[in-house]
Amino acid sequence: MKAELQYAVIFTLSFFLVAACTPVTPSGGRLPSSGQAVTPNSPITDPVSKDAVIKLLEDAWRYNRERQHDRSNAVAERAMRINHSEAEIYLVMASNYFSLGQFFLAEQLASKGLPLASGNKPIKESLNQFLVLVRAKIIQE
Amino acid sequence: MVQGIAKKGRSKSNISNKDNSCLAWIWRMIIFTLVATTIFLVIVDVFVYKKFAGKKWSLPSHVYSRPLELYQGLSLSRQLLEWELKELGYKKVDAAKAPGQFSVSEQSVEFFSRGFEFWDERESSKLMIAIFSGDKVSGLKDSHGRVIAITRLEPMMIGGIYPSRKEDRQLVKLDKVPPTLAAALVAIEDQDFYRHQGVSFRGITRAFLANMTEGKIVQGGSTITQQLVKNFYLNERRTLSRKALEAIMAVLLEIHFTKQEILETYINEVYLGQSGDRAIHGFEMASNHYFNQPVQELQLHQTALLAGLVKGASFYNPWRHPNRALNRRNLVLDVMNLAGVISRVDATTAKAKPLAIISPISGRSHSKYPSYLTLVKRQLRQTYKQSDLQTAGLRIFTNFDPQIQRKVEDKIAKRIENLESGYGIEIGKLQSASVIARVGSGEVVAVSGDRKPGFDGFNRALDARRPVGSTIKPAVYLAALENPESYTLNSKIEDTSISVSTENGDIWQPRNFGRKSHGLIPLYKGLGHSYNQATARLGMNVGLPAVIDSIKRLGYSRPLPRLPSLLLGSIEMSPIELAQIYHTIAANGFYSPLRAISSVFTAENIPLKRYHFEAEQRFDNRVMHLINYGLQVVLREGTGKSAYQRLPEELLLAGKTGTTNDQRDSWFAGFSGNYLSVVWMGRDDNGKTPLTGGSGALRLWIDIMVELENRSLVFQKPDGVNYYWVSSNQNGCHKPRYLPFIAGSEPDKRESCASKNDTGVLGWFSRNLDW
Repeated sequence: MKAELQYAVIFTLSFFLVAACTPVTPSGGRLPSSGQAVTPNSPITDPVSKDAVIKLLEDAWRYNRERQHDRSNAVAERAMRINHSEAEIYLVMASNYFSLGQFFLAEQLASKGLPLASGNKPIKESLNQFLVLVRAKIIQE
Repeated sequence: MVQGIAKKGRSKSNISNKDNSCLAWIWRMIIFTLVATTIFLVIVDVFVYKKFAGKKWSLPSHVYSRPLELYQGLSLSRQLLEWELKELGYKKVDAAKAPGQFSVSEQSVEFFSRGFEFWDERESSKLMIAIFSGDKVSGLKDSHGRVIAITRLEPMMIGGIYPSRKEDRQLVKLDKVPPTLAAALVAIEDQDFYRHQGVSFRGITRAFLANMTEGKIVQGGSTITQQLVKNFYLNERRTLSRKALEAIMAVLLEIHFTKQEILETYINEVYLGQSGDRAIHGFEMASNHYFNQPVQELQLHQTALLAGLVKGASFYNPWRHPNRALNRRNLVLDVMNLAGVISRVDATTAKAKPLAIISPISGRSHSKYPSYLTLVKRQLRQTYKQSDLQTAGLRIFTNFDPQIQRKVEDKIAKRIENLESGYGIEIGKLQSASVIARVGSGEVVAVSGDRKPGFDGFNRALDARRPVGSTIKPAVYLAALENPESYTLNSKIEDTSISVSTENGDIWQPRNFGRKSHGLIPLYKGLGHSYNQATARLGMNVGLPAVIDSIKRLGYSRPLPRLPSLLLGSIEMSPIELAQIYHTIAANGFYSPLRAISSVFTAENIPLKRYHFEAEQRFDNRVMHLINYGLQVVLREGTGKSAYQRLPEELLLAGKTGTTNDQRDSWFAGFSGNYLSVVWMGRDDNGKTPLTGGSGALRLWIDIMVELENRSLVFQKPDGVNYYWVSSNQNGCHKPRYLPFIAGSEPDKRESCASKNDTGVLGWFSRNLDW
């Protein structure tokens, strides 16, 4: 009985220790007590409108390949209206403006997309590579 | 003798000379007349040809809403889709079989879209089914059951930009007009149209006999061509010379142009009604005016009514004289039957139908949304000349969302009524203005410039420049937080009385709203609770130039006075100007000009200009993360915390209240992840109100936000920002707070509660149970 009690105490203490040692991550997990719910959120994925945004991005890239950059931007802006936190929107727009020779706007758009790409490694890499390219171009100009 | 003969001869010769000169004179006269007539005819001909072959009309520009995008997951109830379709003039039927029709079942709406040429691509006309689950679109399919990722309806016409002579018309091609309309016109107005050469002598004789029999003018002998000439080239005077000229011009017109061209012009020219001071011309505009449908979709009974109106749109006005209009329509149908254009059965069936006109106030061509239209016109004037806007027939597509506008106007009216009765404010004195924009794109979706829906007058959202009060405070905190080596959200500032000497020698002594000081407080608290003394002190420490620079970079473009009172919002702004500032905050420091217009097309539907998205980074995103933290504190625990009584707890929102001296202005500016809304309340006479930002504008802001499909604001921790547990006051880590810091400005060990809070059982209890 005494051993059982000891086990119970050890188990309880272990529970508290594990709970207490769990790091508080910024992207969710437990909320600070007095900080209410003001904590940063995870990258927002929007499964409900995902298909629509994917379709529009496909179209935007297609027009981009066809060098119909203004049309591509118009489609990308439709995607932005649905989910403006989708980083790829800014990549395709930046790419269009780069092709149109508007390097400053291209750079700004890529910069806007970068913080939104934290949950999407390929897009983040593309945006970073793009920024290197466009900034070099701006310096050249 | 010889003399006599000579005299006789001379006399004869004189007579002959006289005859000759008379003849010559007559000949000269004839030649002169012929030459003059020829010159006259040539001049008339050139005149007739030039005007007809060139730009025929000064066309007003028309303004359209956003197209409704439909996709799976969209927050849209079945009722709202139905409303949108009805506003677009779609007809509810048992089964949609043609463009412009829809049918409704319990959980779905089947509609046959009209198709539309958008800037990016053409949306073809097709039959689709939108399936609903609650207030969301759960599926979208075509008629073969294939899933459609996204589609859109055509935009809604919301108004126009008219010249001083307010002729409104929309051009339509003859091949887009129902054959029954052209047939009805020919049958009732000019049965010999396809036989005569501009003037019909049979028609004149028939009219003459009819008028003689009746003893008064009951019938005109004018052909369609003559009517067109009269309307198009001449005035209304009924003189013989004008009638002759009309006939000549009609013949000339027929020489140069085909019957189809003449009929098409007639169809677009003719006057068919009046809407206030706006004259309705042409059948396309008339079809919108009376039926809220494109002319292409009209049925026989409708085309007959419109054809009947040609004789006298005012006399046969179907709203004012429905019986007269009905009789006229039925007469047209009988004439069509007699002319062999339609069968007796068709005529009888059509005659049995009601007039089927819309309610006059719901006509979509009316400017139902003048507040928004004013914004559109102002933005257009930056690119186009007023004369072009009034005459070039531009098609202007905007970001206006009629569904949101409707909800906003409804909420304003209710909330103002509620506040006036609740606070004992004199009825009718409280005014309001609001601007709603999409976060990120900066597209303005709704504007309300008055408490009355559809008010067409002083637009407070654009023109009422009022002191903005505490809504300016984020600019002060931004200026401070841009120096992370000096300021963090946890930096302490004295919220105690402060006196500042102004340049003109006055002493400025701001007080807190509750006249209570709070001692040493962290910055986030000063912003969250809107403490005036702390903010004024911070602003003076940072310096007015830095704060002014911050306001300008946020998007304010007017000159700013270097006054200390600016720190607490003594500067005057309109709601749209404040919305611009808050949009930069909502977009994490990226400035994007607020846009009402998306694109402009010519009258011939040729793309002219797209108002594309622009972005310019004006603030470091790490600083913006901190300021957005502070603005969330406002809504979680500060002056805006009542928001979460009605909005979901998990929704991340940020914003700021604003109240000016003597509570003359009540402001709230705030945003979710996808919508920014700025609300102002006050009195036009600048009188006192019992409202603060929290008890007035915030409540309306909440009303509006509850109606919108909100998403949490994007508040991801950027690189270079770290969170730490810190004490919220100087009393150790009793109530620690988890605060973001820009790398390099992290709290030192004295401030940080990490050691006490991140480990240990007691720490865990402390954090989670709020001991």
